[in-house]
Amino acid sequence: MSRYLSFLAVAVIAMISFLGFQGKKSKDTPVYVFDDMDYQSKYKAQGENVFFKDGRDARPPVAGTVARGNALEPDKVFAADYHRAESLNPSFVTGKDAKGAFLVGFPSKALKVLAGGELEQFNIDAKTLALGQAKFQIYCAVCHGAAGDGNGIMKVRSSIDGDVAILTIANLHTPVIRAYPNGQIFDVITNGKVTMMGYGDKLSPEERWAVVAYVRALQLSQNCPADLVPAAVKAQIK
Amino acid sequence: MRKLLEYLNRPAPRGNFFSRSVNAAPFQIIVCLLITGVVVTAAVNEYATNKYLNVGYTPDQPVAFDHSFHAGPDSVLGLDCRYCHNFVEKSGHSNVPTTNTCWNCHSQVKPDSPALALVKKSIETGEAIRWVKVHKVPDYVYFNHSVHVNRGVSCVECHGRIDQQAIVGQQKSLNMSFCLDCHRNPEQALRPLDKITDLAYKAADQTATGTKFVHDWKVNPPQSCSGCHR
Ligand code: HEC
Ligand code: HEC
Ligand code: HEC
Ligand code: HEC
Ligand code: HEC
Ligand code: HEC
Repeated sequence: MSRYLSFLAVAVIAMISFLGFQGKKSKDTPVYVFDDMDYQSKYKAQGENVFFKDGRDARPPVAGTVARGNALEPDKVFAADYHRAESLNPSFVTGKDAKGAFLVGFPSKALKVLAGGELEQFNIDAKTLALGQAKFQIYCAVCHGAAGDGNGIMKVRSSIDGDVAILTIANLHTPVIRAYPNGQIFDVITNGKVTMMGYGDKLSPEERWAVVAYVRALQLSQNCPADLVPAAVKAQIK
Repeated sequence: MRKLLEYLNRPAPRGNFFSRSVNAAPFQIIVCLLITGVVVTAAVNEYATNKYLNVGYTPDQPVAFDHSFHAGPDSVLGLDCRYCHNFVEKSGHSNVPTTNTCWNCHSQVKPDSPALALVKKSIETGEAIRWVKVHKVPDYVYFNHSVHVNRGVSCVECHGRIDQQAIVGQQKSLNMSFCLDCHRNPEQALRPLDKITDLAYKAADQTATGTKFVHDWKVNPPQSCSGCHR
């Protein structure tokens, strides 16, 4: 008995020194003793696939196909008189009018087709501005700064012990950019410009217009005409 | 113990076919089996669950990308998680960023650094970077990021403090009881929607604010099998 128990004790010590305790860091792929149906041979988001030449599960969309999940009825999509919302309202996705000039204001209609075949109204209200603010802070503030003055962390880094930074980042309050038509700012967000890459892949058209509205609000906040300032605030400034 | 063994091994009244030590054998076997049982149970409990098999999995990645430098309010750059994982609010799958996302900055910042060689190659050839997947639930489990993130469940509940990790490792077990613990008491986790990616956030009174969110948003996480195994 004592021989067996000392054998057991040695085994336990060996096991602990070999396997460690819970939470131990390890580079080895987790073991699945019984791998039941843990790994099923199906296509997954961002999965790897040896069948296709580019090695990806995800296939690029065929030209003219419609993305899933935008509440389109299949029978409508396949009807002869069907037009994609993008083709009904192209300026909403390009920022340009029919002649190819940048829209000066905001588009009045959105992309969603309502039950009657009408396009949904696109309004710039508090909700749109809040959306624009949230997206601006996520996607733009690192470079352009929370106030849009071009002093985001990616630029001011250079003044902290000369760290690598992007020095070309634009100040959004210059007279030139303030004079841009809305459509041109939309176009910069969508396609980028020179050293700035586009954000069209990350932001939907609605979100991009909301960001444009927020940029306009920021510009107004930095160059506010005196007659727009409420009297109470004016008194404080003086 | 010795007294007990001496008693069990006492001389038999009559001559005996078996040696005396056999008298103690049943007792010894029972004791050994009991101890072995305890050891095996403890070992299975310690080693045979996700808490050992998956937690702590920290593979080397093809590019030495550092979350603690890039991401989170306390980091140097302070990027929001959604700058890179930009579909997490919109889709069931939270994407690992495309190379373009890195190139937004790295086309200007250290494009020729050896640490970014693979990123540059990926931009030039279009070949994907093969990031190693860390977190995984079995394929028979249905999981969806956007339902959680849009209901005030923060990344930190399921991924831990990623913004403090130089190399991503799994910190939570992600087993069935882990999911159910929260689905039964969601008020312990819910927070305002603008604090989802602020991993350091702590509510002043979590139970009170959480209970309010559960009521206002009519939160009702599934506890039936078909909710997660569909
Ligand atoms: C990675 C850093 C970075 C991010 C993030 C970024 N930008 Fe830029 N942006 C730049 C740089 C650099 C320029 C200057 C481009 C040039 O002229 O070389 C610029 C220029 C601009 C301009 C002026 C373009 C012109 O015609 O002069 C606008 C408008 C602008 N950005 C808006 C945005 C908005 C809106 C966002 C968020 C969706 C954003 N940027 C995100 C780096 C960035
Ligand atoms: C600059 C881009 C970037 C930002 C910002 C970022 N991540 Fe990541 N994240 C990555 C990349 C690239 C990977 C894949 C490589 C790796 O695992 O390190 C990754 C991997 C992960 C993974 C592991 C994925 C897996 O395979 O299981 C998690 C979880 C994660 N990120 C969460 C977060 C959270 C939470 C935040 C916000 C605090 C965040 N990330 C911010 C780029 C980013
Ligand atoms: C918002 C801008 C930004 C984005 C987006 C970004 N990085 Fe960085 N990254 C930086 C900065 C700034 C540094 C620090 C450079 C320095 O001063 O050493 C850095 C450093 C690095 C380094 C270390 C480089 C070296 O030579 O030491 C690696 C590796 C890296 N980033 C990978 C990535 C990857 C992979 C992605 C995409 C998932 C990414 N980064 C996205 C700004 C960014
Ligand atoms: C309720 C739990 C939960 C929350 C909250 C959560 N995740 Fe996840 N995450 C998971 C699980 C589970 C997986 C593994 C999914 C799988 O098996 O594909 C995962 C996987 C990931 C992956 C890797 C996806 C892949 O296939 O490579 C990334 C990146 C990620 N999460 C980022 C985030 C970010 C960023 C947030 C916060 C905005 C977040 N997650 C919030 C549970 C969660
Ligand atoms: C920290 C809390 C928390 C954790 C951990 C968590 N969940 Fe949830 N889950 C929620 C909440 C909150 C909801 C939303 C309920 C609602 O919208 O009414 C939800 C909803 C769901 C839904 C319903 C989705 C739908 O389409 O109806 C599924 C499925 C689900 N969770 C699966 C999981 C799985 C699998 C895990 C473990 C990997 C998990 N959850 C971990 C809080 C959590
Ligand atoms: C909140 C989501 C959720 C619900 C509800 C749920 N499960 Fe699970 N279940 C999981 C997850 C996550 C796993 C994977 C655990 C792991 O990684 O080992 C799992 C695994 C399992 C397994 C496999 C265990 C193994 O290790 O092989 C069985 C069997 C199972 N569940 C049965 C059920 C039954 C029966 C119910 C209803 C009473 C149920 N589940 C409800 C999330 C859930």
